[in-house]
Amino acid sequence: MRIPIVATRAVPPPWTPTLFTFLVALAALLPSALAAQTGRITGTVFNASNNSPIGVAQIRVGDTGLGGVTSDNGRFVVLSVPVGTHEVFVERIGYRTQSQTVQVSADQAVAVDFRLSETALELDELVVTGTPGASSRRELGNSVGSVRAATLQFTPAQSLTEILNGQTTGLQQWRNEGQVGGGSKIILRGVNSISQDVQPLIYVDGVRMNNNQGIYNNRSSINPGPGGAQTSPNPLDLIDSNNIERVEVVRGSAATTLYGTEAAGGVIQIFTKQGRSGQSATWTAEMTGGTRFMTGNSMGPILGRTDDWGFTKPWYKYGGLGEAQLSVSGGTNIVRYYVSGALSYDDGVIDNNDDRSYSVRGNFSVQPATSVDISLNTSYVHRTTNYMEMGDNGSGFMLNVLRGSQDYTNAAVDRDNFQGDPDQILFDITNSGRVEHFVGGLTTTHRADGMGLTTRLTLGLDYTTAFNQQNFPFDHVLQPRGLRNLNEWEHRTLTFDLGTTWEHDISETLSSTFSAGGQLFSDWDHTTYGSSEDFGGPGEKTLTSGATTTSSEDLLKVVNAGFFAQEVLGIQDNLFLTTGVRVDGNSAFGQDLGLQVYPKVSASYILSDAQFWSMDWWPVMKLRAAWGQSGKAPGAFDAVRTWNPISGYEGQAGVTPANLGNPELGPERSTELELGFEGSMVNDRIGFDVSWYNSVTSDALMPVTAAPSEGFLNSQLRNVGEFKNTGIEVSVTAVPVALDNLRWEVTGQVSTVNSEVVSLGEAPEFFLGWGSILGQWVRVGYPIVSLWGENVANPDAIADPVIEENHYYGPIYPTHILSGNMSINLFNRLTIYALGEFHGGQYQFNIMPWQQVRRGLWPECNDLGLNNADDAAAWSAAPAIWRARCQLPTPNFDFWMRPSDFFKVRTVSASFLIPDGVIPGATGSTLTTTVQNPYKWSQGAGIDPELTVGYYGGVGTFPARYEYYQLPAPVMFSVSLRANF
Amino acid sequence: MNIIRKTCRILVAAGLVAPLAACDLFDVVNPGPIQDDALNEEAAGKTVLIGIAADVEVAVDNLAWLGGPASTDLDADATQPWLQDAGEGRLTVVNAETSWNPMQLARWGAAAGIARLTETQSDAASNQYLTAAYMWAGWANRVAGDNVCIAVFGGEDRDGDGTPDPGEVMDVGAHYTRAIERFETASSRAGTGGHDSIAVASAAGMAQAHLMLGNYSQAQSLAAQVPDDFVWTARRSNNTGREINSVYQFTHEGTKQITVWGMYNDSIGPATDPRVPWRDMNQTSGGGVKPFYRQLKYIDRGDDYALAKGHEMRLIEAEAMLRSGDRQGAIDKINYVRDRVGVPPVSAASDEEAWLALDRERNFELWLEGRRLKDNARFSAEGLSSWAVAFMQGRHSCFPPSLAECSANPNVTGNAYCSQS
Repeated sequence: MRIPIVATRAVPPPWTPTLFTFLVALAALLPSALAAQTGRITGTVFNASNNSPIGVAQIRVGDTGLGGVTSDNGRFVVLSVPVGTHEVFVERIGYRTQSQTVQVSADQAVAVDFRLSETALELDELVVTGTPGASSRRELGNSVGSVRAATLQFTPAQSLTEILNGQTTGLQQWRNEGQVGGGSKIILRGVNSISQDVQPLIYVDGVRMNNNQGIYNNRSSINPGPGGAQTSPNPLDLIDSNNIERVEVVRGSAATTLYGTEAAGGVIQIFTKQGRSGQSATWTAEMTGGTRFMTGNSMGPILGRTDDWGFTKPWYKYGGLGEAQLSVSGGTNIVRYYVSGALSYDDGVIDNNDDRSYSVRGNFSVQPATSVDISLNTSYVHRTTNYMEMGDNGSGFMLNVLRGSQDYTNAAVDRDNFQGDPDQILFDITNSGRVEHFVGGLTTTHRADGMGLTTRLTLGLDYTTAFNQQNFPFDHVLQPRGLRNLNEWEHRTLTFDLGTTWEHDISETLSSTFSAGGQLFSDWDHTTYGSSEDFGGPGEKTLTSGATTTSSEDLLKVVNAGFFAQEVLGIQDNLFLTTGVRVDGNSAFGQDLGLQVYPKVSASYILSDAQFWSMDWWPVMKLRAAWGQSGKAPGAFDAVRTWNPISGYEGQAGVTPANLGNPELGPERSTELELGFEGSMVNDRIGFDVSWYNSVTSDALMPVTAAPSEGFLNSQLRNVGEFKNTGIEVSVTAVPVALDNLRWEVTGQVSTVNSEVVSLGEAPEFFLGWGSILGQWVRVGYPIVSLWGENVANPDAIADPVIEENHYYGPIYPTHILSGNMSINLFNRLTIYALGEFHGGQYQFNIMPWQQVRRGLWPECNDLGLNNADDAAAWSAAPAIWRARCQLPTPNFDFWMRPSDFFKVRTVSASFLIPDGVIPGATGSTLTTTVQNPYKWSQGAGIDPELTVGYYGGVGTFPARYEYYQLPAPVMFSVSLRANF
Repeated sequence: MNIIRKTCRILVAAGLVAPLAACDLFDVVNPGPIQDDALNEEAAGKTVLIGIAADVEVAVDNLAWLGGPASTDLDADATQPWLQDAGEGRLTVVNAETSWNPMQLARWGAAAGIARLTETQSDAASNQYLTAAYMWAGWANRVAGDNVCIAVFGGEDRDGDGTPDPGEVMDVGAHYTRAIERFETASSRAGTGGHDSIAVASAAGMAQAHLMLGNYSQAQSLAAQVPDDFVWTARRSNNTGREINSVYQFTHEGTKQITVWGMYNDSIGPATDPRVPWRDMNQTSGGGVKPFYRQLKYIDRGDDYALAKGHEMRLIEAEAMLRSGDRQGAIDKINYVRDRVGVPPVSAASDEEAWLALDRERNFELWLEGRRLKDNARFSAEGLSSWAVAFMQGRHSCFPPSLAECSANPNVTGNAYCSQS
């Protein structure tokens, strides 16, 4: 199903709400004798694909001059319609116009429902992200991905990051933990930086939101500190998905130029729901209940086929989940509002893992004059999560349980005197995180219609506090001294965004849209850490409970500001030429670096509007090309020569070399060329969007290692590298069947990413992660990142392994991603939806199996009898690859590098439109059953090839591609009831 | 002036950039890390010295625990491959990241600190911080000499162009030579400043360095200046993570991937000599393969490492005697030490037995102090100790330059030790 974007700028309707209200009032005042000659038309407008109600659809009753607008629940009423036969029209951008003939009788109401089909491509729909103001799709020279509210209906109780999977081309996402509250990292069009965060910028209703995952990192940052839960929830998941109207995704520098220095990783902009003018209060209530549970399939292809899933099965449980959400929206000509609140709980599949949250949102708009619109969008989320210790962590649940009796718990407890399973001691450790998040923005828009001038000012604040704690109780065998770790983050992003757009016609065939403005973003981070050990006895602890306490504090501020100008020249409304420039400064730049300039040019040509285009079956065809630059700034301290304060003899202050410094340090600069076309054909039954891009990141910030003998051990960032990412993105939507009682829609998407390290400049080739022995290298001429190591050249031969040195296995990230979804609507009541995704071409290091082999616990080796080093018959009968992989006591890591293609069914749901009247007072109610993560297939040997142990360079950069004893994502089943009143 | 400020002021003057009117907005100075210039204040002298000492102590800490499995001190049963490599005697550019790098940081830091203190301290000729800095520079070089394969002194302006140059490859003995020079300076300054303990410590350090250079008589005479009870330590503390005794931490907390099991001190039992205490924990070690025998020499995070002590000086005297043919004199020195720690005397009917006794006595005295890799290597190379000869079969005798050094220093890239694997 293709998800077009809803218009956000008012399109002049045939009948304005003001006129409509006036007509209603006038009708009420008419003499009864006259009124007796009229009747009413009522009805509901639905989306034909999924039965969801459509708001803001325009209703027009023939040429009577009567009409109206649907409310959020899709309902409409047209009063005082003259008796007789009328044709009723329904229009909505993004949908095909539909009409029905009705017979109106005196004093009677005639009911008529509409089911609108989405258009495959709507050139007049408005896009906001990547443009100075709202621009119609026909003007854009670049592609914009989008996810709309209708999609969200199929995915109740899912986080925004879960919803984004498979919804737009060029997006890949890596999860680092299957516990509830676990996090993920989003990458758009591949990794284009090895030292800076690849996570896209996030905007909510025009306000920039913190996109740094480190702030929520549930991992001890205090030394010494056991590992913690080792997961970092994505900031996107702090936005209640119930409130989202649509999401826009722009993926490359050709589209993100106007965002400047920090936008090379792309931009995700979220638009929340708003009230409607002339709409009485519409209440929407939604209740969801369900459960999460683990299956053999969840545990991967090898462990999942064992009886007890590698000793883990007894520890799993059914975790309940529930959510309640209530919202109300409406408005008059002057004031509009949308207010919502939600409560949720989510229990994981193991003890000690649960999540509780509540959120409120209030979006208000005031129109004090016809030319001025003021909107205030605010939200607050409070979330608490309890985690199990997990991952690469001696206290971790999976690490200890999967290792059976050869783990740290069995090694630590006195087994002669300990009652029960030693792994129980893991549950005495507690980890919790609490996040409070506020985002608010005040936007004032002024339109001087006579001059074609629109000015918009947005002031925004994104404010987050996160508090994480980890507790080992007194006399815990894994931490005999007891331990309490705390960290508290406070983050603030301020947004100042001023922009003016001047639209005017130069001639009958030539139009101009000139925009200019400036932005300022200020990020402020404050972090405090505390640790306490040596408790005097049992009981609840504070930091002061321990005999030994340590603390530390970090304070960071980064300011980015710049201005832009853009001109869009429209020729005959079918050729659009855009030029623009962004100029930026950033407080993290080196002292010797000036303002940075990022230019862009693009063109869009509506081929189907040309006179020679005469193919009625192919009504829309647009060609586009875009070239642009954007950047990525270094960190706050990267340019400065610094020494770290340390504690020396008897707690006295000392210093040790920290950062070498680089006064010429500047941003990475990504330059992208994007070519593409999009269109629709066959009576709007097929829509397509095809893009090719070539992105070159120059001046890439490389960690150039200094010789340790010169005193500074930390590598210094220098603008010396060059990377290249190329790919093709194809999205095709088709409606193979569109009958009255059966509608079948299919969407397929293909994204390819081929990355290459073009140059490392002065930096030597280097490895990432767990030492060079893990073979994950950044090497010139190969992808970012490539996997290298020894290889068995005769894998299937019944012989000793023939070893090939320095073998190139392949990239660690997928080279091609395929996703597909389909919806089937039966009898205009039942919609069945399914979404699946395939990642191919990547390799992964299966370190967990390697560890299991050493302990004789890996089924692939045990099945061949290779867990016994003395079983000569078994070894002589085994293929070379398995002799290498299962070698005892310690196999070579390299032989556990394996392809890790995978396919996952992300979501399957069935949504039923409940007939009006079943729920008293409710209309357009739906009952939805959803199954999430029901099936996966993977080529690798691990639990889940999508899991990643963490991030290279620490949290905040890009995902490391090896799994290490993390919990996979369980299956989720839910039932959701949604009713509109 | 910051170019951004200049540029944006011009733009503001031209009325072009209203949002950037506050041109100082890019002049953000974040607190936390200390800017280089701030250390040029005279008042920062003590901070500089504490930093020098702390970096040397961290280097000693790293060598004490990583040097354990690299030598006869301990074995490894590790999940980290580079640690497992060390336990199996493979000292590579990868595990050298944990040994070479902190050693170089300490050595460079001491040299840079001496230069800075000389510039910033008004009483440089007698300044006590500078005196102590020379001594710590001596320790930094002695520690490096005991563990690395080659000497590289980077960060010095060798060609006189005002900028530091990459270090050239030198024989590892250069570290001992430098150590002696620094100790001599510290000793002479301490003598005039009344810092007797620094003078004694410097004498002990020089004795150690001369021994390794083969200057046995000088080593013997310097060792004789050090009393039996004297100990100079690399200090450890529970104050911060950086100051913790890592041998304690990795054997009493966390994943326990180094073990006494299988080593000589295992074979003599847990209580034969009070200098090498350990306990069978009835567990497997962190790697899941070998029994975990916990060392008990360090039983607290704040337990210090000895850099030099009187007992070691007696053993230096014993070695000098043995090398000069005075076998009985050497055995007497060994038994003098053994008597002081309460263990029975040993005897030697031959030079071979005397060398073995000396090797074992140094094992007891210097256990888990990051000292034994050099002993293993030299006693094996000279064929002096059958134990050392057997142990060093197929094992590396020193830490090569780290991967970072091999990659970033053009004078080291291509050195044979960079290929040690």
